[in-house]
Amino acid sequence: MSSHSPWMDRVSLIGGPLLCAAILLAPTPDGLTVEGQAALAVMTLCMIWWLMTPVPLPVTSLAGLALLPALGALPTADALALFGNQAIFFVIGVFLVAAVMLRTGLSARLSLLFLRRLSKSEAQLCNAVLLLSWGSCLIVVSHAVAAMMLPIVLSIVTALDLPARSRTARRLLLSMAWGTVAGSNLTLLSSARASLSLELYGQFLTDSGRAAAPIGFLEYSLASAPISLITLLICGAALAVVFPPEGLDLKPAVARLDQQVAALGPMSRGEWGTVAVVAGMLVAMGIAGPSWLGIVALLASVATFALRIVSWEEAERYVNWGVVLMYGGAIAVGAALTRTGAISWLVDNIMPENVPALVILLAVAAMVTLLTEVVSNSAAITILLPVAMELGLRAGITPRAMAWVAPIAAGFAFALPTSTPAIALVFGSGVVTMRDTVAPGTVVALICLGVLVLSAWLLWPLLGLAVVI
Amino acid sequence: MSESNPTHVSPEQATVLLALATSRYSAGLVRRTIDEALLLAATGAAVRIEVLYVDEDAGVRRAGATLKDDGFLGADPQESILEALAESHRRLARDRIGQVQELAAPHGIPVVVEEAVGEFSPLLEARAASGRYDVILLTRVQRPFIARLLLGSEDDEIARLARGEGEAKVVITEPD
Repeated sequence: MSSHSPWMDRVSLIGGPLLCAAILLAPTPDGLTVEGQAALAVMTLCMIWWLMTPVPLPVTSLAGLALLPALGALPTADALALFGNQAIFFVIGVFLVAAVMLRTGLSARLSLLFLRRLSKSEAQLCNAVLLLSWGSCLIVVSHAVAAMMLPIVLSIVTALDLPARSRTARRLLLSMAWGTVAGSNLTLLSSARASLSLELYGQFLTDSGRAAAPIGFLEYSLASAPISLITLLICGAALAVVFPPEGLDLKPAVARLDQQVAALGPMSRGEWGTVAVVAGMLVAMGIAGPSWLGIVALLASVATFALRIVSWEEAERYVNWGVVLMYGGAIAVGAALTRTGAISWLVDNIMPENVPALVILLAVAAMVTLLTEVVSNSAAITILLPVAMELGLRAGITPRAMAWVAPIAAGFAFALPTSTPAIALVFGSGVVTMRDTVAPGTVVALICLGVLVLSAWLLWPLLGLAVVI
Repeated sequence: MSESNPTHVSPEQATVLLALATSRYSAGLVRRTIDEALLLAATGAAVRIEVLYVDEDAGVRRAGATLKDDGFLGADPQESILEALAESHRRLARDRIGQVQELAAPHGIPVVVEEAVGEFSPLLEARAASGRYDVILLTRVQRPFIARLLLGSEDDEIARLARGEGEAKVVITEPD
């Protein structure tokens, strides 16, 4: 469903193809191939449709995938082959694991037990919600964490009978939302955009004739998890300052949590099975090479069905399989820009000379953060990462570093309801308004941007992650 | 806060319309409503307060759609989220309407409540143009300055309708 008016939907539905046609039919500029021109035309259409969503995101990706061979950017076999990449299968696994955690109730059980232990004061309860939302992203994709936590947090708000503009109500909800946003940068399992980014990076290397080792599960987390942790601390501090405690009696909330914990009963066979499968998957991802991540995720998913933890019908109800189309098409479109030389031509024409590498790093991170406030994270990565890698290369930054910077920066979306599902959910409650998030969220995002750039520049090289060529 | 000059007071029956919504509420507005009702009562009129509460479910639907389209979660998680959000809206409505009733009761002012689901402006505009009200009170919704500059203020349109058709006094306050 588009979040824009019908008028804007019509304009973008027609405007996207018109602009695509205009670019395609224009005289081919010097230095740009006909195939590159076609790839740019397709990307323009996808950009407009991803931004304005006159059609669902997966449909835009399908359009892009179909138009790449139709307009001559890539041969059909090449375009369709890009669809079947490791990231897609990893994402399938990620979402199936999330579905199993939700369906069996294991994630809700762990959350209730955790919150019950940390409800001695308002500050402790709010921080517990923040920490729990963040930590759950270690193994469950952040959107699913938000979906799981929202009813729990709202039940606490109800139990405390908090009035509409209660500071504690807003802090609880924003702790959940910001916790999942910060947690989305923890590991490759925390968000699908990370694996999208790594796949685009791999395609960039292949298509530009560069050799480098792919990025593994632990290696990715080594760079992203510390930033995620610092983001968590910044969020916690900001929420404590903006929404100080109100001196509430938490007994009703504790009683409600007690009720919910009591209603859980003993752990079911399905929950034990989920523990075993998830533990096995995490160990395997840690020790397997990068090229095996998708296979491990798929095998874990198969295990959940084979062990009867969840049925296929249940899995279908927990996952929107449009995610496969969205990511498959997005990777094909992003890779086409590199493969046809379109990115190289674009950067030749837009990049000023002698720009310091640090400035490029900051500019890329800032652009991704800004774009992700208004468009889906995956669309932002697809649009900006190929350009960022080429830009970075010219300025002396490794494409490998950009493959981290872009998805991490896309996780700094704290301000607007259009930025990420978690924020949209708390806005949907009617308790949180723009006044609560725009200013504090912008400040938090700016601080996090600074942390990211400083970490990339100073810390990552110490961890063995090369940033500068 | 903005007001229009009061020009019409029924000597027998006076009605104050308090228009609230999910995104439009202010404790100060509720207190102002009681004050306006008491002012009318002081003229000898039999005053009553009508509360129009609009549950703006667009935010709930948008949240559900975002969870599906951006979050790629399926029907089951969406269903539980939509129910949780709808219950949050209902709780907000009960809480806010309750506050109006609580403040009006000591003064013996009857409160009639109408709850509706949908968009605030069209629902209020229809009532504003009816000419039934002596005073209409509402809060602004927060919109970016550019949007108000380019698209105009919906609240100013309501005030114009109320003044033009019904000669009501219109009070528009800032939200909490």
